[in-house]
Amino acid sequence: MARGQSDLLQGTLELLVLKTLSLEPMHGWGISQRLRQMSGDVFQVNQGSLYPALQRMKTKGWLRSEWRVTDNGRRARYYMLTDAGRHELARVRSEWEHSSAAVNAVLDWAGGFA
Amino acid sequence: MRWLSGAGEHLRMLLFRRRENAEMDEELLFHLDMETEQNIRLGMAPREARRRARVAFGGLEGHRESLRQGRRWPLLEDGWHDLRYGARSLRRTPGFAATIVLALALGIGTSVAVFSVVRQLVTHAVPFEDPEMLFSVEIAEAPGVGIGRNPTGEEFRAWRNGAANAADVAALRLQEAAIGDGTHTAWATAYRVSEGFLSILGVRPLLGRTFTADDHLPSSPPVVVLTEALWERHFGRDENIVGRRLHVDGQPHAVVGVVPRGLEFPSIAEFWVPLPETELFAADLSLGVIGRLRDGRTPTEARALLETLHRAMEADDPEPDRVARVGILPLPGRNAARSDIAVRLLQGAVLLVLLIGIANGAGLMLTRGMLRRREIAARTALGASRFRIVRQILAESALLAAAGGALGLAVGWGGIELLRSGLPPSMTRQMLGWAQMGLDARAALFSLMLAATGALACGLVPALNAVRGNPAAGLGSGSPDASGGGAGGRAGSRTARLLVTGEVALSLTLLLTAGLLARSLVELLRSETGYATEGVLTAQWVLPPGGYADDGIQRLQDQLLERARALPGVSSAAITAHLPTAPFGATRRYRTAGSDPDTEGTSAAWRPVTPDYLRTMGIELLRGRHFRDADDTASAGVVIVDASIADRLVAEGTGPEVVRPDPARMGGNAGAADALGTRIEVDGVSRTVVGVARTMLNPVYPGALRRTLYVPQAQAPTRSGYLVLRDAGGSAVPPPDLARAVHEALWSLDPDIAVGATATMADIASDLRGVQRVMAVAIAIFALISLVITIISLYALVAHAVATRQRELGIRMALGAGPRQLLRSAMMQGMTGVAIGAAFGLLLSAGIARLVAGLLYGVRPLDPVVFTLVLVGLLALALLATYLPARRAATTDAMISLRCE
Repeated sequence: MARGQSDLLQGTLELLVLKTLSLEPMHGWGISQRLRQMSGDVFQVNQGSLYPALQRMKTKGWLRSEWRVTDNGRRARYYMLTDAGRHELARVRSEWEHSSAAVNAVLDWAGGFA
Repeated sequence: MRWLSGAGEHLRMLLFRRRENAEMDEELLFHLDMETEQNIRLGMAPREARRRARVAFGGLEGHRESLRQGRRWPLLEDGWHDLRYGARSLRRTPGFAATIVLALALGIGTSVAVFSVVRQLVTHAVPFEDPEMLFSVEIAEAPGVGIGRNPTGEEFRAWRNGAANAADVAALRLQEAAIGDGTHTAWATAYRVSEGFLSILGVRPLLGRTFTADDHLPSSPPVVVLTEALWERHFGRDENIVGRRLHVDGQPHAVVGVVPRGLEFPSIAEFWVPLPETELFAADLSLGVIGRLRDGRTPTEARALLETLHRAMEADDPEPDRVARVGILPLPGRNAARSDIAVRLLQGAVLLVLLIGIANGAGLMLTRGMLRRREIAARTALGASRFRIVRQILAESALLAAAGGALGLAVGWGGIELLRSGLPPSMTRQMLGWAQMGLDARAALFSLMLAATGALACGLVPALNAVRGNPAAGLGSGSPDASGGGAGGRAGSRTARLLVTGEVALSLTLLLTAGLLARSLVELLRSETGYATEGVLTAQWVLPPGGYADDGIQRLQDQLLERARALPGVSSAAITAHLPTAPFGATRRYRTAGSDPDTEGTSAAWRPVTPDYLRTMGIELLRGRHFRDADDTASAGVVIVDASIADRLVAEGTGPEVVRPDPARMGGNAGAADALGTRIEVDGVSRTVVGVARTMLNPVYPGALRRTLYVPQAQAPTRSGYLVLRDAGGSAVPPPDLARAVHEALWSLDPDIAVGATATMADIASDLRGVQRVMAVAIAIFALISLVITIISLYALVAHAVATRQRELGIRMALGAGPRQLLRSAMMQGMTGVAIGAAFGLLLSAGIARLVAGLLYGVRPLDPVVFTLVLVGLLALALLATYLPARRAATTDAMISLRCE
């Protein structure tokens, strides 16, 4: 894995997939491309974790899938958010904001107590 | 509920595994292709682009596997695994599996068959559209009174006018009638029906139409609708029947339609005639009333409405305290009333068979579970959870139950076919929907439920038992025998013995009930009818209304008898008003001449007959003489009485109305001769007793006698009756040909004489005993099935018990115990349970015997012969079932026994 790129924690990957799909339905390859673009090539999504994650999220009822034809005429499985998925996105997002704020607070701590 | 959310997805993946895999591959390849195309766009050569994409993608097979892993659903896949493991383990013991499956199939099959039949007859027998919306109406004069009366014309009018928004109602009235076309005439069962009757039923005609509103106007030309059966029998399926003019009781009626077979209602109907409603509204007219609920109305609403209307009517009634309840019955409910006890008895018997089947399954599974204690202990030791082991055993019993259920359905289907073809048509003719009867969908569902129950029952007991014991004990002992088996083993054999005890009790009950019914059937068949059943043909005739004066009847009868005697093969001929088998028929009250004219007298069957009647019908004349041609209106009144009346005339006593049959009394006692010359009065006419005939049984209540008075037709002519023919022996002419010849003879005298039922006495007599015969056979079959299952259970139990005690037996043998002692010890184990079960069975049977007393004839409910025979038979079989496996154990070489495991 090249430097400057980072592996994703499982929960993080799910959050990012939910975010990506909240914009528009997309196939697996599209999701991985979009994640790379959005993160400025920082996140290199491994197919070995992307597809199982999609499947897991489908089983949890956050996503559903259907076969559609792409712009260049190929058949591909598109994933889209369900209501439960949108709900999950909102929940995880607020959780993420909380915990990243907490992490930042820790990192910014300069020592000593007021 | 969270685990449920993905259940659909999991299930889909499991069910469409192949398609899922293909789609998964397609998705991964798509990804790879897109990656390759992108590399090409970035300027790589295609080969290189592909290679890079593959490298970036990683191993395809690895992805596939991780996806498959993600798709696994442990609960379902483990269940599948359990089932496959169970099937493998059952395949290793095919005899065991077959026994359980067979026992369950027999139990389930018989119940499915009987419940299908009962449902068809009781709740689903109507072949009409939306039968659940149809009902019939009865009035119970007081709450709790079982059988109500028919509504009256007045009540019908009130409902017809007032209930229209809840239900349509129509009335019908039975009226046998002559129907003919001028060359021949039939005596047939007609129903006069009110407007809308056939359309309420939803009957669609085979030919022509049914009745219209206009047909019911008093001014309309009279019309008639025939059934397919009558059309076939009397009009040779004449395609041009519609529009033909027939005579119904002498009045011309035009045929407007023919109703197809199976849609006759009531089922004995042969044709229908419309009746103006005004003629149905008479206050004292007793009517059948049927109705169809309007859409969305319930029987409760309809009943409430009819009852309100009924009360409003009763407000004007001089007896306002009389509370009548209107009963809304499902239309086919009438079938049920016909043989209520019989149906309940069948249901009860079937439930017992089912219970026995399930107990047998549970017992065998339990036995098997004990034999597998080592295996289970090993699996527990290797880390299998108790839950997993219980599930494993339940999976096995589920397999057995599924197989038992499926086979049970087949058995049930076969049973229904057997019933359908095995019952005499005379019994089934009146049962609505009999011909359409098949395996009922609900009965099939019922069988699946039974199978599921069976699975639980068969599996749960042994499963819990298997995990209750200490696995170390099971593993540690050399064999899972009583000395080292731990609590589970002992509790298990106790449960198994309990199950066998229950089975013995239940089968003994069934066997005893069957024995009682079989014995009463034998008694019934053996009891002398008092009339000849072989070689006697009877044909019903009815004279046209008007047309014949008394002397005309006399002349006609003489001519008819003359022609009948001339028929080939006929040795004697006679005429009687009613057959001895008639369920009802005319009765008269008689009293001794000179007794107080205010006394009511004694009721007796009234049989005007021609002189040869007793000889032709084979009724024995005990004393005195037969009638003579000279016994006519010009001579003194004479009568032949039966022996029971003769006895009473001599004793001048007034005994109970119903006399129990006593073979000695049926022939009359020595005093019967003294009755000759006695004078009795009937309807104010004095008659001298000139003969004494043998007494006959009442055909409706076989336990009672039927007192009978025979008088000469010449002194009491009847306008209808039966021609009775006796063949010369060797039956030169087959009954159907003779019947046709008789019909021709009647019609040649007068084509307007209506000819009704024609049958041999043998057929009539066997129909009378149809119910008893069917019941006895059915219960006997159930009893045999239950006996077989019980004996198998017992055998398995004892075989298992000795197998687990093999070591102990070996040690005892080595210590010098003889085979005889060992045999006794091994058999005791099984026979104790049998003895206890038999005791309970006897108690249970004593109770049930009282319930079936009404179906018994010539045998007491606690008949010692039946009880002894059945008990001895069951015990003998039980001894055999315990002896065989016990002997094998007792005679096995001690060293082999000791080395065993």
